[in-house]
Amino acid sequence: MKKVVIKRNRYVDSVSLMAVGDKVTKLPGITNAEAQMCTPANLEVLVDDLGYELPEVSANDLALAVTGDTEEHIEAALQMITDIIDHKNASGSAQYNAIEEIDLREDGYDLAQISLPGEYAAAEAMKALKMGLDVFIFSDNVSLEEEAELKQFGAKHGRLVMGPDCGVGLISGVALGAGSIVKDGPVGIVGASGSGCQEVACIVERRGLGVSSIIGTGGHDLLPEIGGLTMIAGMRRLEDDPKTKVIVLVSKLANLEVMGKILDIADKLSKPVVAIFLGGDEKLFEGHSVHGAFSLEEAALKAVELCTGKKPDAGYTDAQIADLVKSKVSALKPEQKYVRGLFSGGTFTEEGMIYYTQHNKGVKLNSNLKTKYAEQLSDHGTSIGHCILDLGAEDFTAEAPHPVFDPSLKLKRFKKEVADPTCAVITMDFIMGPGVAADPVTPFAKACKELKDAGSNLIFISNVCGSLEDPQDTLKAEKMLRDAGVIVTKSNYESTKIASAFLAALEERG
Amino acid sequence: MAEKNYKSDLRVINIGTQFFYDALEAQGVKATQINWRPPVKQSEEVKAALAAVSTPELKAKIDAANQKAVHCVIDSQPFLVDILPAGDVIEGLDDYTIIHSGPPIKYEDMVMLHQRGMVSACRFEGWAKTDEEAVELVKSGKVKIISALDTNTVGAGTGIITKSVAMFIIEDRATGKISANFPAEGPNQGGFCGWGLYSEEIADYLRRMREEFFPVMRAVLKKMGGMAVKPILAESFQMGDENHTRQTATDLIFDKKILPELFKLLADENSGFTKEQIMDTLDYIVETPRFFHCIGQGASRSAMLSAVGTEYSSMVTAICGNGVEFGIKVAGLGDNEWFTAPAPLMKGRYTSSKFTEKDQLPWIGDSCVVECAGMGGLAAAASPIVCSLRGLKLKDAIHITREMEEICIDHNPAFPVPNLDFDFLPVGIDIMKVIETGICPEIHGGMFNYQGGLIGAGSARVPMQCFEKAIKAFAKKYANK
Repeated sequence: MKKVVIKRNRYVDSVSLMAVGDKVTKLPGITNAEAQMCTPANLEVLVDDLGYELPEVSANDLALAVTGDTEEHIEAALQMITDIIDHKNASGSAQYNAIEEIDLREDGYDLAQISLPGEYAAAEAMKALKMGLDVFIFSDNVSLEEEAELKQFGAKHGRLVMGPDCGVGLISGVALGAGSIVKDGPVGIVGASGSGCQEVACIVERRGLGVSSIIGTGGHDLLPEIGGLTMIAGMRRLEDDPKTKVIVLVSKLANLEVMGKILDIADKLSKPVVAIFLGGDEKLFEGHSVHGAFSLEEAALKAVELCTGKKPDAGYTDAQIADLVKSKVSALKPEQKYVRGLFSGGTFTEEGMIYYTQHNKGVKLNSNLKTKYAEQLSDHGTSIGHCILDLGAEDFTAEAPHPVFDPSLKLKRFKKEVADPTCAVITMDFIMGPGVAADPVTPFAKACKELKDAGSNLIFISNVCGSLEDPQDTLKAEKMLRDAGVIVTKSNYESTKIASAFLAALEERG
Repeated sequence: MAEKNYKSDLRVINIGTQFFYDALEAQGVKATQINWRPPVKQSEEVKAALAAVSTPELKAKIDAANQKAVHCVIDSQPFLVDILPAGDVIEGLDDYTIIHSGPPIKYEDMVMLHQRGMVSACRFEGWAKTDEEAVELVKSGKVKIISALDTNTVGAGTGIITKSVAMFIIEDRATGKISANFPAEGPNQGGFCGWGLYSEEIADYLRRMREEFFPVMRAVLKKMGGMAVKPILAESFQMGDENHTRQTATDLIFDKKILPELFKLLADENSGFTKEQIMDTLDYIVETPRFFHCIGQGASRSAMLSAVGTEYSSMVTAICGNGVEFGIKVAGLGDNEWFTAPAPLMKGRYTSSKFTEKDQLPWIGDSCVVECAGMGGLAAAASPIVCSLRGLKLKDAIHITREMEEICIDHNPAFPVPNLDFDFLPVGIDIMKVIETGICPEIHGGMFNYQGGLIGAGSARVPMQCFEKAIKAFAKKYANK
């Protein structure tokens, strides 16, 4: 059975046409397939050699000719030829220029992750919400009015609005933003601090449990203008989520009224709730059944205890820390007097400063951040005395990419601190996850190793905030640091505790 | 089709940094990256006009009409069929009528090149014996002045056309529509028709073209049964032409087709032509740079003629400048309804460093009819050679065509391009898409100074203002219909 289709005045170059025969004759029942421009030479082949019957044609016409066993097979072959010469790309997924081009009935999605410049983020987020999606807004510089509008819309329509200014999330096992991929488990986290949430999640995972969700609220959620709308919505989601057994709330100290409202709602949930408002005290939790915690580690360990009924063991004991300090400090030169902190975010920076303020009474701290705990540096480029830096703050990120995504800024500052003869201790964090720098640890481990081999007596303390599933291989990174002589801890809190002991010893030595 | 197995139920749309999309991909999550662009800044009026014609019901009608209009180009079968006096084939081109390029303009408002063209035309047709007489005649209002793109012709350069000018005739055999296009004037590139110049020498060459060369070419075309234009264009897109600024390949292919016929004529004792006449014709063809340009424009114009008047279509059918104003026309709006803005200057390279932007005449000429038909600037990817004139690299050229895809209705399956991995060139500029995306059509062209000298080559974008005016008119006509 033979069939010929003529495409009038259709030019296709012969090289493209040569690709046709081979592909099409592999189809079932097809013995010959030709696509030829109707030049005299080609007509000779088609008509005289292959026996096709052609109508009146000109050299500008294209002939598609197929020989096969059934009508059906021939039609399929002709379709394939048409697709080949029309250059239809079978692979390649759909490209969208705007979210509203996606038809959710045909192509289902659940969540929009938005990291546009702040001025555009709210409009896109609102489109996504109206389409019925949850949103995760990494972008900062979204106005409070816009944030309130988005969150009120979300509250009204049962949609989750994570952010703006939301660094970390974990939904259905998917790490969002700069978050870690944490093993599934019974602890659900809602938090206004990205690294705080991630720290709690990673500590929980290290104690053998897992995390059902991390719902980030963004840094402004507990402001009176927003009223904790996402924290409340997040708690309710976790209350309804059968996998979640314990809920952890994470925030820096925030508006008293909003925190009170959050705790009132948390009290009424059927599931146990642990809450940390970093920088807050016991008074916050008076009259509430919520379990108060005062460090990220404590919050994580309380959650583990509530799930398992067993108190998990802590890391370094006080005696171990005392020994460590004693052995290391004695090796320092007299001019080495100060502790320096290099952090990739505000939460870890503040957690440290709060601890030193409470445990190293009267110590004078310096920082690029404006807080009640430390004197603000006049020049963020040069450390003075004990100096705790948030390298993710705007004064640094205005000059270089955020250290979570590109460690070069942190490495440069690290080298500057190392070269400072008054520096005795450097404490640092490392953040892992699929959405951050591919290898944040190696350059530092290498630098520390070189210093150690050269006989340096500098003291390095570090913890890796990363899960066991993260692509960077957290355990290997920790080993690399340990081999380089770094004191590797299990949490920022533990690093802080050790740094605080060194700080005390240095102050005492004078 | 079975869905791929993803590691999570969560399906994510990523809007923003590619880095986070890659992180989702690496996690084995179903994700899509939105190719997001900052929103286009539009006036409230334009926004309202766009919204008014974007209702689903109206949009369906517009889409259907645009398919119809764009298929006037895609399905066109242009043939070079004959050479005839302009007065025989251009509607309304009678005595005391002069055609010029660009949107309609009064004599007083014309740039010097057009004014000089008006004078040259009167002298050429013998309506005036001196320049002074000609100026007086034009100013008296006795001469009718019309815009080329309001007729079935194209006014490249100044586009000065009167009834006696010999024109190449392009017939769209899919529709029977005829366009008439003046041929390049041999050594006098930018002579009478192009730049409005008039001299004894130019007049004599025009006479020779008409009396000596064209009878020969007509005989050849008749014998060939016309020459198909589209296969030549198609092949040239694979050989580095974009068919506005560059015709190197089309000229060669055209020569390859026509020269054997000329030689046969030369060998034929009874051809009725002298050997000298045939050889002079041959010289005229091969020594005229960018000979094929007028044929490409004619093919574009004859296709556009069938798109004109397609009700509900938002496809652009004309793009041109007159050195003062720049204008577009739209298929679904009035045949002679122009949407204008000040004519743009080109960015590009000058033939000599002595020239600067100050020397440049704002856009003049109708040759952007090729962009209307999906060539020239829209085909930048086909011609990295042309783009390199402006210091662009291949990737920039590809980027331009990819960008043009966003404002076009469809692709032309006749024009696959190697640099696009044989994807087809976009075709059919849609005013609605231009407004939506904020992307204006890229147009190629030559740069001229105020005296009509060629001083460079480059490109420009059609001013957004043209589209803003057009969308308002489009909404006015169709929104409440």
